[in-house]
Amino acid sequence: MTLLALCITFLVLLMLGMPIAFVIGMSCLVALVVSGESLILLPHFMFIGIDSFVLVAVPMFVLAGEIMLKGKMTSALTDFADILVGRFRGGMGHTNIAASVFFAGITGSASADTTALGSVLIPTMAERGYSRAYATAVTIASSVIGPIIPPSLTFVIYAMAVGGVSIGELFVAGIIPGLLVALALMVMNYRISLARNYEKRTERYSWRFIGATFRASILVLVMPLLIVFGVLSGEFTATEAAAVASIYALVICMAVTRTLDVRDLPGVLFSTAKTSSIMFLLLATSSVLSYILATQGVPQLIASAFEAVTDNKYVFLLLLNIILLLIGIVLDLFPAIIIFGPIFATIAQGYGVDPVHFGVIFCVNLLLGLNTPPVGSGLFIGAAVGKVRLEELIREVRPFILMELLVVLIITYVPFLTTTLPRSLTALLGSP
Amino acid sequence: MKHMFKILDATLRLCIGACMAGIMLAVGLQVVARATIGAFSWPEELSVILMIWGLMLAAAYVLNERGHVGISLLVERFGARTGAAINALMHFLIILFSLAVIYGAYFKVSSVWSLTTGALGVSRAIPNLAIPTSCVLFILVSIRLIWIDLAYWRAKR
Repeated sequence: MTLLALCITFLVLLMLGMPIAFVIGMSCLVALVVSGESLILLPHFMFIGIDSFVLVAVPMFVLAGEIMLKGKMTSALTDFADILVGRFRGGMGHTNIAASVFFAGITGSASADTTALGSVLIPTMAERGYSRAYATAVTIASSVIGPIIPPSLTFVIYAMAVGGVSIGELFVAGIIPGLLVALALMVMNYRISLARNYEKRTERYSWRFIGATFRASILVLVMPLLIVFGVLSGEFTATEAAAVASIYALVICMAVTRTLDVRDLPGVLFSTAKTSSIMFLLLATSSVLSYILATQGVPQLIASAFEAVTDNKYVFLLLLNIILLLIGIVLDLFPAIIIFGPIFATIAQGYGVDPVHFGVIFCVNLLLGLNTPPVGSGLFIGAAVGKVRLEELIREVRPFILMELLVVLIITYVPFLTTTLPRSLTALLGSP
Repeated sequence: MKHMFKILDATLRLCIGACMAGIMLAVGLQVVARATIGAFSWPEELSVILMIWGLMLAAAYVLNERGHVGISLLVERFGARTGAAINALMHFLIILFSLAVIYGAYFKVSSVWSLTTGALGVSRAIPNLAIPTSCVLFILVSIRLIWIDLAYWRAKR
């Protein structure tokens, strides 16, 4: 009865356009009333959901990204990406994807990637003959690389929700899958560009320009290295790494490139808080939902359902992929991690799946949901930034999502791709 | 009403920005201190308290800008006027939710009032109060948004 009330409230309010954080909160309120539990549980679990030092990393990583954006470091990155891949067929599409890879190192969030790169690259791609819907599709498809390559807010929240997994190892484990997604998207972009006869850059850049762009980009690209090596070597925790990254960004933009003024800082700090607060309210209310599902025996129900179907690890992983894709389609990323992360991580342990490998499969699967209707926030942000109709965007993004699905299957069945790098680096640098 | 929101807006901006700057300084100081004179015990606790307060207040600010993620696809199909009425109803439900949280928080805050945190030695009620405070702001903001939505609904009649 409680679960039924919860599900109905959730679906009705979701369809009526209530903000998702409040949809979850209101559903929990209804469930608590129906089950006759005390309302003290609402603020109690909301508080537990956000009372964590690990979570301080989230606003700090967002701050580092905001400082780099306000300090106009994006243009150096897009120029650098253009130098590397712009001369292939579909050059600006490749540039967009490569820029997402570099940009991932400073924001760790898909929406920041779509907004910052999309506002620059979508008009440029349209000027060069790409359809606006296609340019937006490339932007939102490649934006999922942001939360896979370190620093990743998604991995921070996953590690906090599940516990017992090193954030540093998850960060490093995301590098190869992130690059694989980029490669897969570039292959699809090349194929479509050939079919539609999209452009490629014909002019050559001067060595002076290449040198200047490289110098400007390297300042930005050092940041993710600082984070990864700092955390893995045990010099600082993930949270401290995030604060160090934001201080580093501040020093670079204010003292080295001088593209950021002290007067810009209040705006940057406020914008950081607004972006982070959207995630935080989701985390707070999802924590209540997680408690209610646990008291209703949902984790045990899911575990026994898996056990009844298969005891084979590979079949389990396939089923898991399908279920996570479906969850990603109907639920926003962070609530999905908070609610289902602990449940599935425990089940996966029973099947002998490596925790770091599982963390990457779990998060990448859910990230695909960012670009699928009806809850795909990437689609909505993309449609707004690219000024295109949602239907057109959904049609254009489909082939890219298929390629990302292919990568998900590869990283699921080749654990070597995710586990080798963190293990080797940890062994090399010391314990995380 | 307009003047009150203006003052509230400026105060909120100041508090939220100060919280974010405070986190960066506290955690940055901890990194430096550990490498030089040894780690302090208080920056972790302070940064968590600042984060909870700063971000919960910012959540109210974002609600004021209708910035929280939601699915507006179906509502848009009903047309602007019906959409405004549905939005007003949703904000009324947000008020109900916020009242329930404030009610629960009264007991929660009372239960931790005399307890203190480990490093800073402040009452545990201080971080816990951030949630009901933001809920009070959610209510104020929702009343304002309902007002706007209903005015639009009436104007389009």
